[in-house]
Amino acid sequence: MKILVVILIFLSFLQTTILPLDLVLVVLFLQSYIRPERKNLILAFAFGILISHLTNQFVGLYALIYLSLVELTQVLAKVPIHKNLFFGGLVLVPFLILEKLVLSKILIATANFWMVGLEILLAVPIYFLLKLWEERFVVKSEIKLRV
Amino acid sequence: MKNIPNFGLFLTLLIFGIFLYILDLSGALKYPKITLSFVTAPIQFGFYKSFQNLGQQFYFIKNAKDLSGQNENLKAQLGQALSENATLQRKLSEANDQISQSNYLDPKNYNLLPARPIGLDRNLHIDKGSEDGVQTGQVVVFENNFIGKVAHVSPKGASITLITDPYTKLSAFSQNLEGKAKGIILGQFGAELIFDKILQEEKIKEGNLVFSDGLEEFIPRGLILGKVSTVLGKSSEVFKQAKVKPTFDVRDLEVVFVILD
Repeated sequence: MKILVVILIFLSFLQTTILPLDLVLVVLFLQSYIRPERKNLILAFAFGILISHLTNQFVGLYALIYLSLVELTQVLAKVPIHKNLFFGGLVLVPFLILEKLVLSKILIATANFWMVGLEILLAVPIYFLLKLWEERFVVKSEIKLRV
Repeated sequence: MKNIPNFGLFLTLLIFGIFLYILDLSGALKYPKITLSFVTAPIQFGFYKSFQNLGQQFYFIKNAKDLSGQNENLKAQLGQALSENATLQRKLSEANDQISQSNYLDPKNYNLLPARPIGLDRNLHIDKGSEDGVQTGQVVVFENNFIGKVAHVSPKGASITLITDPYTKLSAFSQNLEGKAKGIILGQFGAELIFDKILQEEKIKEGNLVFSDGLEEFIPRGLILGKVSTVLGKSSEVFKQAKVKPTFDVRDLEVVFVILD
């Protein structure tokens, strides 16, 4: 959790300074997709506020978008087919397009849909890294050692 | 609602988010945002500068690669320019020689073919041959100096028997204020010639120029053969001799002229 928070802080600064890709949303989406948990909603809300502040937007704008998309992801993660990677990719594309559309409508700006392609490409290695991290380094609550 | 995971938390955060949004719209979050900016702005600036510097490093590498390519191109261009310069200088020199040559042998009287020396052993080799109209026996000159006679001709080249060759034998004369001396120029191995068969009563001195007499085929009268360096022979003999030195070194020539007709 701590490492994930540090990574998300780093990505927040990265995407608001030099890399105009929504990396935080990609990581939050994949994290929720791999492991749907309560903490994902809190992370989405908190980093939504941080991104809003860093991009000088109204506080809560990104928080609402991230929160809604993460909740939607957690709903979709209950679908039996969710373990298929292509399904995840298919879900992520409309999510990212939706986010850009909403932002362009609210901020009255042109949406750059070319970035979606790059974000999808980046999502593949991020997915495998998160998967590796979750499976190898995160202790699951259901596993109890008998002493 | 039971199918929606963590719906309660989601709803709470959603309401809280809307509340914050409205609060910020009204300007109530102005000061907390300013306070937070004291922390985030330097970090953002640090990120921006760091990646800018990183980008500059990549730009430097890219630039260095481009410069290396440009340097290679410039080197190639410089080599080409130097080569062109050398060619132009050679052509200029040839043109100057041609202009100079026209001062000595009138082009109206002589059909001169400029040729470039391409080798020198016992004979001088030139880059013009039978395809250019060169024939055996024709005379090769430079300005008004006799160089030699064409000995062998190929389609694209010719060999010139030099005046210093032992086979060279020309009728010649020398003239000074006291009178004229006639004789035969004989080639010698080496750099000197022998001016032979000069009558004892004929006047010849060191420093006199020796000219062709024009009795042989193709050889015009009055071409300089050399300069007398030593007069030999005793007064009791019928003929006297003189050593003659060519006035220039054939190796210094960049162009010679074949008298075609």
